[in-house]
Amino acid sequence: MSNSAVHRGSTEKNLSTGLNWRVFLPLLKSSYRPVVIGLTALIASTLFVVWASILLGNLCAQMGSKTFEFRSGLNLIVGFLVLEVISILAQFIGRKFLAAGTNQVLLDLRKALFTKLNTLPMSYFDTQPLGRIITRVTNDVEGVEGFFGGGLARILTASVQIISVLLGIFFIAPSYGAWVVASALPSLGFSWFTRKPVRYWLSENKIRNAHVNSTLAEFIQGLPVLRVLGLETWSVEEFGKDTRHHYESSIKVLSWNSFIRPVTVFLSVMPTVVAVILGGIFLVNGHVELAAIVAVIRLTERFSNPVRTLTQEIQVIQDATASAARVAEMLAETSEEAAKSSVVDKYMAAASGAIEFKDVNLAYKPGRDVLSEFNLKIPPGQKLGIIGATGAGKSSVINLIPVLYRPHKGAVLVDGVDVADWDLASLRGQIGYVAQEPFLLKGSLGDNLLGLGWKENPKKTKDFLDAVATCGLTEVVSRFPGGLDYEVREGGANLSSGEKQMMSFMRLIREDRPILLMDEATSCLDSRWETAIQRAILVLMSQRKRTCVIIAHRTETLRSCDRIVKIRGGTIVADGPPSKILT
Amino acid sequence: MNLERSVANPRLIWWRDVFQRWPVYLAGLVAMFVTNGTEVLAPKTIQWMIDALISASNQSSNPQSGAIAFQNILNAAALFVVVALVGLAGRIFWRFTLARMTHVAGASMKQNIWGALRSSSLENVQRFTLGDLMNRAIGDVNSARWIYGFTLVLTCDVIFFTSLGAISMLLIHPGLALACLSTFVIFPPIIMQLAKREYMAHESAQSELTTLSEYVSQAIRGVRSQRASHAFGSWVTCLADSAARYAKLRFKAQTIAINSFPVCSIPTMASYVILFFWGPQLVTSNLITVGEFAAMASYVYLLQGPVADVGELVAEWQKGFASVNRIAEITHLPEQNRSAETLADRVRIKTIFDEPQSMDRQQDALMIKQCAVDVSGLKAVRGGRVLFEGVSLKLARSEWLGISGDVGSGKSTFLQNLAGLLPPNEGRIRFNGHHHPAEQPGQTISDGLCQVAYAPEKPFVFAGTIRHNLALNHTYSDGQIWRSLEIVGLDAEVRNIPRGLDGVVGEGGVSLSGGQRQRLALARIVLRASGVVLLDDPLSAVDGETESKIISNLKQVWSSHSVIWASNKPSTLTCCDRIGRLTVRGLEFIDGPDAFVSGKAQEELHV
Repeated sequence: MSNSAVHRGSTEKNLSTGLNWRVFLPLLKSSYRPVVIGLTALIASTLFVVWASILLGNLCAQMGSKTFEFRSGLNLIVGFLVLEVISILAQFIGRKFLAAGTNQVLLDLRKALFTKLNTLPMSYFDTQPLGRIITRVTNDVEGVEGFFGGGLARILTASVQIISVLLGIFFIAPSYGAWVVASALPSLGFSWFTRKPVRYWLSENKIRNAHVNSTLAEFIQGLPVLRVLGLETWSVEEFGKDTRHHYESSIKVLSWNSFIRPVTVFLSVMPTVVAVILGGIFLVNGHVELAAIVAVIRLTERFSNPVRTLTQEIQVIQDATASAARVAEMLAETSEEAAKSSVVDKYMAAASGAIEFKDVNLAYKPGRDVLSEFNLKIPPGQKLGIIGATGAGKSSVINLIPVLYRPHKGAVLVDGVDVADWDLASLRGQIGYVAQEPFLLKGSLGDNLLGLGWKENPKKTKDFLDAVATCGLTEVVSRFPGGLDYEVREGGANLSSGEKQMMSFMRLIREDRPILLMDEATSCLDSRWETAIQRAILVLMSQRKRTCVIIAHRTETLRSCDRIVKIRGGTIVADGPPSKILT
Repeated sequence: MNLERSVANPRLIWWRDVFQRWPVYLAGLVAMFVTNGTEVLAPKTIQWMIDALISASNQSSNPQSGAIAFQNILNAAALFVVVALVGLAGRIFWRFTLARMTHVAGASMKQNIWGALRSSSLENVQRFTLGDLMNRAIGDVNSARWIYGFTLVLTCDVIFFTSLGAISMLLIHPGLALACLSTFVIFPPIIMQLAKREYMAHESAQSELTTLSEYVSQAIRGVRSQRASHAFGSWVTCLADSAARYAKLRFKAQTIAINSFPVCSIPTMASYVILFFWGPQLVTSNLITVGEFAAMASYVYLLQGPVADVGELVAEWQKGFASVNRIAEITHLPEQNRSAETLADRVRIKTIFDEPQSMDRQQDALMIKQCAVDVSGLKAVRGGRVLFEGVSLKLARSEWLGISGDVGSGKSTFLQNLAGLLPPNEGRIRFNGHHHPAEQPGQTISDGLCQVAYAPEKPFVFAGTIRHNLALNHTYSDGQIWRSLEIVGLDAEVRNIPRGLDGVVGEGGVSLSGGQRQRLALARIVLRASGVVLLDDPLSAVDGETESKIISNLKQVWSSHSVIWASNKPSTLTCCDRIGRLTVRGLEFIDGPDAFVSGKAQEELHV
């Protein structure tokens, strides 16, 4: 109980994975032009600033001499002002192009991730916590967005400024400037060498923050349980522990920065001191002219700000690269099509609904077979029931048909063709699947039953309602005030489990699919509705040849089946008509 | 922009919070003032250094005065170093005071959010979507905490630096200073206007981002069934459309910010023009030194930053206050009736793990006489639809009652009413003769040992070990935990999980099937159940064989408990002493379990 992080065990490790930049290259290809133009303009802008500083130094030196006249300095004054204006315009243009470019890159990145979601194998969703996948596609992308949208430009601008200032100092008076440049190195070295602890704590901080957020999300969802079990005070203590844990790492970051940043600022003004003292010595000795010294001093003043920026960004860049690395990892994940593509031309056809399992072995974890040497032939048009104890492998049988998983031995055939050779979209487009835990969107009933944008298609809506009436399920919709317009809360919170299951079933009516798979799809229904749904299935099956596979543990559900198989330990132990199997 | 209703003035909330920690804030302000002072002094000392250099250059022919001039240079440089050192101390100090408050505020806001959520009624909590709540807890806390620390630092920076800088400029040459500063005075209103537009554009982009995140989360949660029936493609389109809308809005906000950048530079450029045409003339007429001219140029350059920041700062404050308001909407949710005094304290509690001798005989006898549960005239309305009304029920101690009813007839609502999660729309509930906590202020069934145990229809599994899931706030011995798993028939399966009781389940761990999750949640109840047990179909996803084993186990351990079991499975309800059917009209009792199974319902099943 002492360490909540250990108990929950779901924390991500604090590791700095190498970033696979190559994954992002295809994204940059389409919009590298505005990015390049933007960066060039930003670099040009800093060069103009350095140039302006040199002119200002010359002006000050001229003013210092007793022979100065306003007219003789006019060139320098006008030159300085023009360069400043040009630099501002260049920066303006640079930022605009960069923003346009990065926006396009990020939009492409998001789209690529969404497409990826559609092609990742189901096992990816099983092995990763859903929250983590959601974070990849939301927060991590936003992290990358923050970096490209601001950090990257700032780092580049600061680096260019530092380099051009140092070069400027050196070339104005090499023998004198070299010393000043040397005095600038400690500040750069300091910010470079202290970046690691801050980075560590920054990423630790991020992990702990994510942990706080996931605990909160969990507690909110489990609130009824917490409340009824009298765990409210406990939950506050647990959450307090997590937030304190996070707070401590925030303070670590702050403490390191309380030391690093002020010292960096202090070190970054040292070149000015060196420039003045050495300048005095060189001036007295007559090695360097006053104009050069003043110009160098002005340039050293321009040194401090970019060093500050760089110190800050050098710490955050790690954060962005970590986000980018995680996003890249997801993009590089093998997609399900690629996981096993022996055949180039995928099979596409209207399925008749014959399903066959041939010596199928399936294991989610090596060495622990869920199905072993599983054989089953389902002729088209059959209504098959599957029974068996929890963990017997019933759901696995159903999940193999739409290729949510692939058997590691044997094959599943639909219409005599291995599902691995089927075009996935074509195969799945012919399967109606009702899951154990129904999923409803936040939106109207119509959004859920007919898909978003159903209102623009009144004919589709009417056809659907007619089909529902044919199945004898009109009351399922009409029982809700507003019918199809009834607003469903997030996750279907305002519907009972039974109602959710019925909605889930109703989706089958919408589309004309020859294979229907139902995994405990009616477990929460009362006998009246159970009967109604079983009747509706028979109506659907009488309309055209449909194969239907039903998993249920209630014998009532399965009475109207043509055939029942009983599974135990991943193999069939009984097979026959309901009258024989269901006792 | 300000369409949201305001719970309390967010500025007042902020001020109250800040005032509570006034010593820290005061110390931070002093540190900021000192830091800004050194920043303003820096150009001054550079001015002295340049002047010293120039005089050294002019007197380089004379060795003696040259030495004095060199001494002046060293003095000025030493002063510069001292100023830099003071600045160093000031910077460290404000970080430890003002900046730290950012994190203090962030942590306490998060704690307050959960503190409020856990104690407000489920109805109120469920008015918000999970996405919305999390958005407030993450996004809003993130932007609200700034105005307790870093934004304050930046604000001080702008105020102190501009005023000290202006004073310093005025001391050099009032006329030139006023001329240069005049350009800055005109601009803040324009900058504020731009910042406001940027803020609004940013907000609309942010709200599209929230929508996008919600879509993403919904899409990922429903991926399995969407995938199996090839319906995920429409999700991808929907997500891509939302992302495109967001990209467009974000670019609009960025464009406003970028466009305001050259506008913000106009005052600086105007000041430069004034300074560079008037300044050199003042130098030639010996009214100011070259160093002073250079210092003026530095100030104009340095002032540009804070002045341009004004817009962003105003936006940050606005954003912060809006977030404080959104957080307050949650932290100000009305509390459900609750106090430390619990029903459990007042009524003798006995769990199956209690030693028999700890029972108070007298009180036990008293309780047997009373009804364990007494419900009268209960009514529930959901979404304008009457679920049931006039539900009355007397349940004796150790009686098992089964409740069946149509889908959506309100079985879950009824149990939630009894569990105190949802106050009934009408009616009265008593446990062992006591008023239901939800009716009477100052009582709650929560906190401490529960008198009423409730297994919700959707089992909730925490991400963590099996032991954590079962024990939660308690410490149970391994024996007790294994016994509870045995009762729900989960012991064999847990033994198969690597690391057994310490195996991680839920998010990030072993994924459990629906039936396993239900049984795990039921084991949690078995460990805790005392007087009354409310079961909302907790075995709906469990196969018949396992179910009958579990029921016979429960019959043993809960022989003296009052159990209300909602289910539609005849096989489940056969274990009950009495069965009621929940309809709109109320609870209709069916004589016995056999009548239910062999009755009309049974006939209907044979299609």
